[in-house]
Amino acid sequence: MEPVTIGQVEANMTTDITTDEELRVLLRIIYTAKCTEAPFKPAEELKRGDKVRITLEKVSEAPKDEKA
Amino acid sequence: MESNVKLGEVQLEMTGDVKTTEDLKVLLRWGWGAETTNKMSFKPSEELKVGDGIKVTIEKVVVIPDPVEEKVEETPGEAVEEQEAVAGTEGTVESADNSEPVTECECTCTCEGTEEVEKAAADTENTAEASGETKTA
Repeated sequence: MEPVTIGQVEANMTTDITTDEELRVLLRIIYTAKCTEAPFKPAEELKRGDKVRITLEKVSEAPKDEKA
Repeated sequence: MESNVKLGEVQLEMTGDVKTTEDLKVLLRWGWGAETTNKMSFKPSEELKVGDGIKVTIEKVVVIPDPVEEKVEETPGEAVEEQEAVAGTEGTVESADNSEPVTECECTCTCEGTEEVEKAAADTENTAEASGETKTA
């Protein structure tokens, strides 16, 4: 399927992050996690106050239940 | 003007359903779970189901100041400076009008006058000599 943008958010960093540190992306509804955590190391250092933009796209759909 | 630097891209799988009316929070966590950003949430444009694949792109937004705007901002200050400079020059001119022109005028007048007087004197001498010559001749 074609990737569909489901949302985009922006925020400011509240802490410094170096390129050798690992960040994890997580999606939640209130306190409930709705996805697996995905780690990555940022390509550039981030400083407190830097603006980051996160774009979420749906790239694949769950396989439909054949029984139904 | 904005420039985006791609920091990373990850793919994750939904473990729960999300409706379009629900606020989906995005967290960037570090270490044991410290959050590294302000709160980010959005309502997804499409419903998400367990097993859906999601691609997350993380970018750093760098704001580059527009050089044209910078010039525009600088111009009023420069204009004031220029005006001041002009005013300063005008002041000098005025002061020059008061003092220098007199000297210049005197100088030119004197010089020109002297030259003219000298020329006239020379002419008179020449004519006198000529007339003398004529007389002698």
